[in-house]
Amino acid sequence: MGPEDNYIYDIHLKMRDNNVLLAYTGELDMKIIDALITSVKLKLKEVKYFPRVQKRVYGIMVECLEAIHSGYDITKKQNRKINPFSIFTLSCDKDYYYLISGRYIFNDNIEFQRAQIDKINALNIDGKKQLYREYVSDVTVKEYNTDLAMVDIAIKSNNTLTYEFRKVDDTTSFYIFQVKIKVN
Amino acid sequence: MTPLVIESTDLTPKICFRPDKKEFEISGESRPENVRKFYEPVMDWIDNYKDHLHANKAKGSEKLVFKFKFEYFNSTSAKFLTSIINKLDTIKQEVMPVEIEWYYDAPDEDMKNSGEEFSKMVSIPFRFFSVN
Amino acid sequence: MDDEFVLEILRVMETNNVILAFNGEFDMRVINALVTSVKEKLSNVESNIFVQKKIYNVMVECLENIFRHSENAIQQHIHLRSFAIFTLRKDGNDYYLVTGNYVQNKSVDFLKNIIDKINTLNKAQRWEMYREILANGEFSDKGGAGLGIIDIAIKSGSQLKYDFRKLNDNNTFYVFQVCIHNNNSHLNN
Repeated sequence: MGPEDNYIYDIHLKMRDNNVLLAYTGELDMKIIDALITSVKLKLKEVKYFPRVQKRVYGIMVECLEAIHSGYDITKKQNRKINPFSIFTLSCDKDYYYLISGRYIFNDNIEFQRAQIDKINALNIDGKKQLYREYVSDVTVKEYNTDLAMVDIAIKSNNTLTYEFRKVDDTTSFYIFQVKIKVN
Repeated sequence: MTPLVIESTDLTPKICFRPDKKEFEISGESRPENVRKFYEPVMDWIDNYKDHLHANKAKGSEKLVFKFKFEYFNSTSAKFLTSIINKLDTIKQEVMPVEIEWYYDAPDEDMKNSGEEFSKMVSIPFRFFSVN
Repeated sequence: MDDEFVLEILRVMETNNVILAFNGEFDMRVINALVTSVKEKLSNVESNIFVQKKIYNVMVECLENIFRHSENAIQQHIHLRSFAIFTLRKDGNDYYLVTGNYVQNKSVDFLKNIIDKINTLNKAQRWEMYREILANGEFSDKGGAGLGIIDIAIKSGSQLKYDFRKLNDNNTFYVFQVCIHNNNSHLNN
C-alpha cells in the first residue's frame, strides 16, 4: 500500500495512545448519534465499577452530541452553509473520562458561545443549579436550548468546561469543547 | 376519562395514565427526536384530566400519586417535565392532593438530584425510592 | 487542554478527504447507522447512482468483515481489542474504503495469500472462486472473511490492497483497502 494510506495506522495509533474508546468523524445525523449513544450505553453496562460515573458519562455524551447537532441545525435555519464535518471522541485515563467534540462554527457566533460557557464556569455548584432552575422553567424558550444543555453538562460533570476556537479562515473556526468526568 | 397509554421506545419513555386504576406512571428513557411532539399529548391529557376532575367534583380526601421512573432524560425533556409537574401542582392547588413518587437506580445519584430539583419548584410532596 | 490529538485527527482526515470515519467497537447497530447514513449522504457527493450503489454494497461487506473479525476474537477469548477503524474517503473521482483491525499473527498468512490470489484473478475467475468458497462449507466456516474478501473484490472490480503492522508476538494491525473507481471497471475481463 502506498504511503498515502499510512494515515489510517497513524490515526489508530493516536486514538490508542489517547485511550480513545470511541471516535466518530464525519457528518452527524440523528441515526449516527443514536447508534453512538446506544453503543456506549451497552458498553458502559458491561463495566460493573462506578455505575454512577457511567450514567453520568452517558448523560453528558447525549447532551454533547445533541449540542453539535443543534449547532449545525441553527446554521441551517439561518440559511448559512458551513462544513458539517464534526468529531466526537470518548476517551479515558485512570482519573477521568473525557468527552471531546469538535465542529465548525462561524466566527460571528464565537462570542456567544464563549460567553455562554464562561458564564457557567464562573458559577459555583449552587449558582449552576440556580441557573438550571431558571432555564428549565423558562416557558418562553420552547425549542432545544443550548444554555440549558450546557449548564446541565456543567452540573453533571462537576468540572470546568473547556473550549478552544481555532481560526480556519475569515468566516469560520473549529470549535472544540471538552468535558472531564472524574472516574470516582 | 380515557386512559393514556404510550409504549416505550429506545428514545421515549412509557406513559401509563389509567385513572380507573389510579395508575399514573412515566418510565424509561427520554430523549425524543421531537420532544414537543412527544410530550404535548401528555400535557394535553393532564389538562383534560384536571377539567374532568373539576367537573366531577373530585373529593379533596382522595389523592393522586404520580410515579416517575426514569432511566435517563435529556435536558430538553427536563423542560417538558417541568411543565408536566407544574400542571400537577395546579391540580394539587385547585382540586385534590397530589404526590410524586420519584424512583431512581440506587447508584444514580444524579437522577435523585434531578428529582430533588423538581421538588423545589413546586408544592407537591415528593417521595424518593432507590431501586436496586 | 488535552485536545491536540483531536486537531491532529481532524487535519489528517481533511488532508485525506475523509468523508466519514468511525473508530471503536463495531456492533450491528453502529454498522447499520453508518451504512444508512452513508447511503443517504452519497447522493450529495456522488451523482452516479451505479457508483453510489457499489460503494454502499462494498461498505456493508467491509463493515461486516470487521464485525466478524471482532466476533471471532471475542469467541476465542483473545484479549485483542475488538477495536477497529473504518474510513471512507474520496480521491479525485475515486472512492477508497479502508478498514483497520487487529488480527492474530497466525491469520496474517491466510489473509495475505487469499488477497494475493484474488488479485491475480480476472472477473470470471473471481466468480469461480466465490462459488468454490460457497460450496466448500469447511472453508467458509473457517474464514467467513475469505468469502467476504472475494465478495468485495467482485463488487469493487478492482485490486485489493493490504498492509500488516506487527505489534507483538500475538497481534498485528491489519489494514485493508478497496477502491471504487468512478469510471468503467479497471479489471481486465
